[in-house]
Amino acid sequence: MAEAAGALRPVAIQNRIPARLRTRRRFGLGARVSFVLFALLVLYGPLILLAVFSFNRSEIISLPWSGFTTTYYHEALGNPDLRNSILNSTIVALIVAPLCVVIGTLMAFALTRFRFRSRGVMGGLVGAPLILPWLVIGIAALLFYAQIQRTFHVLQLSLRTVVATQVICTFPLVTAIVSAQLLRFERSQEEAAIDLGASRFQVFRYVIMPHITPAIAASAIFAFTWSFNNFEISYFTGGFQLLFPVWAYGTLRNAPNLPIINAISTIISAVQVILIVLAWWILRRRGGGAKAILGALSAEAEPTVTALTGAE
Amino acid sequence: MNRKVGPAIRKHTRARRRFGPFAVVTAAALIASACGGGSSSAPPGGSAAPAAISGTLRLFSYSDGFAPAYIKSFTEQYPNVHLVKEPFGNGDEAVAKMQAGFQADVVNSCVDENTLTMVQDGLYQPLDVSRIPDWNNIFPAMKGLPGVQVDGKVYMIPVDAGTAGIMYNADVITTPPNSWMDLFDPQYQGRAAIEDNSTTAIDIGALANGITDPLSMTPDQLDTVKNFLIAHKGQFRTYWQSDSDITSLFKSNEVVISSGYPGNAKILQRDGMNVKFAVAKEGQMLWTCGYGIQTGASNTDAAYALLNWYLDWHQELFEAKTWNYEVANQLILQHASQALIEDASLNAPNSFANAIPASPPENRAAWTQVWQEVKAA
Repeated sequence: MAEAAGALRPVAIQNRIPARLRTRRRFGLGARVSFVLFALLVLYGPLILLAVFSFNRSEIISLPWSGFTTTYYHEALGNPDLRNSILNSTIVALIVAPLCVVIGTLMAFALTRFRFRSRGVMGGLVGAPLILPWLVIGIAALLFYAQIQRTFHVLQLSLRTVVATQVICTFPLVTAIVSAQLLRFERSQEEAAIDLGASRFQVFRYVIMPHITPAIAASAIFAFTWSFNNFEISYFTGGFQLLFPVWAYGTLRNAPNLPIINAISTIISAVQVILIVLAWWILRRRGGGAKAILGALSAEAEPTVTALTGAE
Repeated sequence: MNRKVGPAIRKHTRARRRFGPFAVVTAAALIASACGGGSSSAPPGGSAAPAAISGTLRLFSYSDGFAPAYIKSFTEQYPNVHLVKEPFGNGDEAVAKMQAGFQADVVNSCVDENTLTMVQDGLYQPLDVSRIPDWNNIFPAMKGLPGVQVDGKVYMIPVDAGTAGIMYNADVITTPPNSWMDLFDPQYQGRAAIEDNSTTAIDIGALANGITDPLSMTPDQLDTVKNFLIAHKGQFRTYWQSDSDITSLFKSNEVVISSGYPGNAKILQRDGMNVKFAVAKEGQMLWTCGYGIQTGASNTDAAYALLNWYLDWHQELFEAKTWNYEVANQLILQHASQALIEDASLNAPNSFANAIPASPPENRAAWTQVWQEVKAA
C-alpha cells in the first residue's frame, strides 16, 4: 500500500504542474544543454580539429581526409630548433611562475593589509601591465635593454631578459588573484588566533595560508601558462634564444610546416591537460582543494582593479 | 574604509622592514637576471679556412633561411661557428625590431619589402665583394635591383627570387588564364582570391586597368584602382594571407582562381590537386630576397662565410628543388637538370622579361591606406 502510494506520488506531483510550465521547463533544459554544447564546441572544437589534422597525411589543413600518418610527429620531435625552443620556454616558465607567485603574493599582502600614502599609486603601477598591450611592453623592454647595452656594454638579450620582463608583466596577475582572495578573508579569524596565543608565523601558516593556497595554486597555473605562451615579450626580448611561440610564429609562414605545428601543439596540449588533471587529482586527495581552486579561478573575474587599488 | 591609523601604521612599518630587504633582493635578482649572460666573439677580420672561422654568428631571417635541412651543411662546414637564429614574420617588423636596438650579424631582407629602406636607415653595412667569390656569378639583372647596390656600394647579396602569377584549378578552368583580368571574370564570382598584400593587390588592380607601370602611379590612377577593387570586392571569396590559407582554399574547392606563386601550386600538386600556375601577359610581380651584414655586426668573418654559403650553387640548387625558387647564382644552370631549370624558371633572371621588379612604391603609405579602404569597404 505504502509502495503504491510512493509510486503514485511523482505522477500526482507531475499532474499538478501545468502543461505550459512543463513545456517551458523542457524547453529551458533543452536550451541550456544546447548552449553548453555550443560553448564546448566553440572552446574545444578548434583544439580537436588541430589534433585530428595532425594525423592527416596531407600537408594542407583541409578536407577531404588524405590518410592517417604519424610522420609530422616524427618531424616535430626530430626538429632541433623546435626541441630547443620548447626547452627554453619551459625553463623560462618554470622560473617565472614561482618568482611571480612570491612577488605577487607579497604585493597582494602589501596592497590589501597595509595603509600607506602611495598605496593607490602602487596599486595602479602594479595593475598597469595587466591593461598595457604586451606588444608595447615588449618593444619598450627591447629599447630599454638595447640602451643599457649601448651605454654599459653589460647586457645581452637572452632568456634572462625574457624572465625579467615576463616577471614584471605576470606578477600583477598573481597579485590580482591573491588580493581578491585576501579581500574576502575575515580578519577576525587572525585576531582570534592571536588571542588564542598563536604567533605571527603560526597565524600565517595555519590560518592565512590554507585560505589563500587555492588562489596561489591557481595563479601559479596562470603564471606558468602566460609565460609559456607569451609571444610578444619573448619575441622582442629573447635575442637569439628561441622560445616556442616565436618558433611557431616564424615557422607558420610555410604551408608544409603547418602539420608539424599541429603535431607539436597536440603534444603540448595533451601534456598540459595531463598536468592539470594530475594537479586536480592531488588537490582532491588533499581535501577540497580542487573546488577551492575553481573558486579562486572565478575570483579572477571579479573586478581586479578594486583589489589592486585596495578598496575594501 | 578602515581608518584605524595607529595599528595600521605599525603594521605598515613592520611590513616595510620585512619587505624592504626582500624588495632589494628581488630588484637585485631581476637586474642580475637581466644583466650578464650572452656571449659573442669577434675574431680578427680577413677570410680564412672554414675551421679557422669561429665564434657566435647571429642570423636574423625568415624561417626558410635556417630550415634544418637547409642550414645543416653550413653547420657541418663551419663546425667552430655557433650559429644562433631568430625568425621574423615580415620585413616591416624586422626593421622595426632592429631600429629598436636588436643587433644581429647577418640579416635577411627582400627587395620588394625593405632592402632599400634598410640601406637608407643605415641598418646594412657596405659589403666587400672581394670577399664574395660568387658575386660575379650573380645574374646581372639581380645586381641592379633596388637596395642591392646604392651609390656604387653593395649592401645586399641577392640569393633567391620568384614571381607572382595566377594559380587556377585546371579541372574547373579548362582554358588557362593569361591575364590579371581573369581574376575579375564574373563566372568566378565568389570563387576567386587575391593576396592580402597592399603592393601585390594594388599592382594587380593597376595592371588589370591597363596601367603599365604600377609603381609610378599618380594619385588619380591610384584612386581609379581603389574604386575598381572596391567595385569588384564581391568577386573575391577572401584576401588570403599565408600559403596555408590559399592551399586550404584550393583544396576545399572554395577558390578556383587566385593570385599566387609557383610554390603554392606545387604544394597542391603534391597533394593530388590539378592546380596550375600561369603567367599574366600584363606583367608579373617579382620578389627577390637576400642577405646582408648588419651595421655593428661583431663576427664579420663568419658573416661573410654565411653569405658565401647562401650564394654557393649547392645551396641554390637546394632552394630550387625544395621551394621552387628562382636563384641568383648563374652556376645553377650548369648543375641543375633541364627539367628543374624549366620547372623553377631558373633561366628567368637572365632578363626578367615581363617582370615588374617589386620594390615598395615611393608613396607606400598611400598604397597601404588604399588597401585598408578596399578591405574595409
